[in-house]
Amino acid sequence: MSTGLADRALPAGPRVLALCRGATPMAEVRLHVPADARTPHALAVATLLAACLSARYGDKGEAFELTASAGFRQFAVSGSCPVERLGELLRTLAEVVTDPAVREDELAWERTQLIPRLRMLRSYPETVASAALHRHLFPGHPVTYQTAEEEELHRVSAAEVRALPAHAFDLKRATLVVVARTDPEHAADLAEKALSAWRPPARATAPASPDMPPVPAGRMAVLPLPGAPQSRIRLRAQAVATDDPRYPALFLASNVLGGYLSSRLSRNLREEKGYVYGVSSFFDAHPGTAYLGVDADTAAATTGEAYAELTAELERMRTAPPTDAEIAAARTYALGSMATRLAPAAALASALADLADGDVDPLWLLDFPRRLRAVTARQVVEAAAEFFAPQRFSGIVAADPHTSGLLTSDLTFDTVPTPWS
Amino acid sequence: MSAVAAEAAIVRHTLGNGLRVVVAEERSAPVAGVAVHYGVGFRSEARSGFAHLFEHLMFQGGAGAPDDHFHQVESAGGFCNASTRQDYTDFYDVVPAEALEHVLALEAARMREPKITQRAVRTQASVVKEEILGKLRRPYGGFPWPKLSPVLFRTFANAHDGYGDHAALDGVTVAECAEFFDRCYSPSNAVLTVAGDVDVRRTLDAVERLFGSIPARPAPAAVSYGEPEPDGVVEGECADPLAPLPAIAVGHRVPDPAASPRAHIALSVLAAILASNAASRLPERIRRDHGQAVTVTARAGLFDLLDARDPDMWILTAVHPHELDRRRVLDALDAELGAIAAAGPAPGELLRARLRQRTSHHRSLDHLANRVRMLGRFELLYADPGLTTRLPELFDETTVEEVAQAALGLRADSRAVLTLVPGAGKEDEAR
Repeated sequence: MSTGLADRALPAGPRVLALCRGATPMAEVRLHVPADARTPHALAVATLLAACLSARYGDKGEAFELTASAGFRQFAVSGSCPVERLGELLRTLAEVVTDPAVREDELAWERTQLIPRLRMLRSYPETVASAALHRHLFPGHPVTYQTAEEEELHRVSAAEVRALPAHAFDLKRATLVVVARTDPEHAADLAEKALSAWRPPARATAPASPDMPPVPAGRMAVLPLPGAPQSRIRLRAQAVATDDPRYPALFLASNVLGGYLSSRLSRNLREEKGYVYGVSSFFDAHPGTAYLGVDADTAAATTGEAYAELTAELERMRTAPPTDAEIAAARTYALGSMATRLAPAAALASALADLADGDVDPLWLLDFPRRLRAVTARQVVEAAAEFFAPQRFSGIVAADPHTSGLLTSDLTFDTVPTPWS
Repeated sequence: MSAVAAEAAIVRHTLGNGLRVVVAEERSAPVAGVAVHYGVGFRSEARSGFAHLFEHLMFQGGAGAPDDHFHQVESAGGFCNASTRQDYTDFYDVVPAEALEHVLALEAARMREPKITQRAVRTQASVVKEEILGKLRRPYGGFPWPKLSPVLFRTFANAHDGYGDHAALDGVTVAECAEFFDRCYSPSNAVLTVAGDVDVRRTLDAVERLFGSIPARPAPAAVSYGEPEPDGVVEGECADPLAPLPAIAVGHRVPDPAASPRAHIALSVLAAILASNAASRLPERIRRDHGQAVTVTARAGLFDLLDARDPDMWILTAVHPHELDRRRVLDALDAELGAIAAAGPAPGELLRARLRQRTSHHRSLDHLANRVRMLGRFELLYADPGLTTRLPELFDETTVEEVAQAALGLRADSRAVLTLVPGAGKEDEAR
């Protein structure tokens, strides 16, 4: 992680980060713009802008591809091109986020395409489970609007879409990441030139995104899915933010529990018992905070057993603390992954942009190996004892209540109301 | 800055026991990749899903090893995985460059003798069932693969479900696994590929030392899985209770990829022109003629371009609204195929499609896992690992005539059509 880096704060935004990476002659670009879409209608407007831009530049460009996506607190554009076309891509990028000339007919057609796509997306079991988890843990919070609602999409006009950047984009706090097989200073020059016409809009800053509430402790619920052959277990517990001093130790503890295929969860539930194909523990990061997540999918018939083993492994993080060998393996894996997983330019660009999305300085990533090396075994053991107690976790089990045995078990579950019931 | 992967030299070598070795040095990141391709996939199995189950079992690691393969790779800072395709099973590891010899030793140990127990067989059969539940019991799960194969093909080898059949995987024995390993996982039926930040000389020395003493066994005799092309349109139907919208998948037989890689590249460019996104020819025509939006995909190869021996297929899928009859989609496809066969693609259109293919190839190969796996599969299937670096040129050389020829080969009177009947979301549609 020592190759050259260009880091420039342009006067009207954004911050430009350029790095040289890649085995092939390509450039990867990620733009993260804080943007306020905290109402279902605002999210529908932003979603349609993203759809129009993706259609226009994802499909027809000879030189490059751009795709956009919208969330309740950010607007993101991702692009790639042969490295010699980088200037062109950046010029287009500057144009689309300041003056997206979306026409009424273009909007109508994108809406026609978007509605069935969102319907398909909402039909996937993992989308159903994740939506229920958010409704259960954060009722009423904008994070529960996972996709734009159809009625809202029908109410959006092209004028609103065109006006969105001026109204909602906080370009001053935006971050542009360029990872390309080229000199970073050259890439930054291209970005600076392309973006020189950016002017902060009259309403210069979007309000800071609404704080994510802490995860309550010990609130489990069932999402009844009659006929579901496979159950989805989704657990969350309050953790610490990425830039907290305790984060690296907790990160290693989470790896020991379920960060990879030789972790405790995977060995027990997959390699020993055969209950799951995949099980993992991970960080679910948001601006200013992060949650510990534990996810597992298992056949209806093994739901109770898998849930009991998950809980037992959480408990064991305290009663059988991570050993020196486990900590060493987790640390080597984490450090190795920084090299292996982030070697592709696209992966590095996305990782940096994700940090910006979580309101963390992306350069945190480049310093993370140093912080990982400094963690002591004692800190990992303490983090394991403090954060993984099963009673700290809340979440849902999306399952057939009969075949999964959840109706007859002695576990106490609330019921998550289904939005369609 | 000028040295790119495309210029990296590829070294080929064969050990005394028949193991083919490919080494490609490319030092843009301090990472090494290892792939082992065994020349056996699900096409040659007798039990539906056996090759896939065996792939899982190989992760128990070598006999006598203190730990399974995952643990030994991950605790060295790397990651590993595997896949089972028609004609090969590939295992790959990506590690920090200094761990290269460590993973070579792990691959050599499990090539010499894997650790397979009855308990592991039972557990992995259950893991495979969980994998299939997760991938298939979801909207559009198993669509088009493995559901399209039995519509286009007749023989068990080509038509059966190679992902895994629940019932067929019950009762697999250790003896059956040992026989399969002995017959199909011999060094002479394998390709070892090493790529990334590696020294060619030292790598070859390490390979000789670690793999050279694995006893030679005969490779299974080459079998032809050829069967006649469908005489007419073969129809199939599948119900999908979770899918919100209807869909069709169209499968066409294609020329032998080993005999004509250029024809496959033209078929791939044709797929990009017809159905790479909403602005492609097929969705554009449906929008123009019917005012409806469809979601389309198309590709040459059941899983990927140049990824199998003969026979393979060209696939197109379209998810369409209830109010658009599937026949309209097929008519639009045939109209576009006819137009391209008669006049070829427009020059600008061809240029864009070639560029799109080239770009997506480069983006994919920036991932060392993809690079090392592609080198290995091209060696195993076609004895031509250099195809990996020549692909961008081959895309660039594709002509209007070749694409027209590709379109002409996808005949409306010889194809498989799988219709997906959705069970969900009809009440939404009424709103």
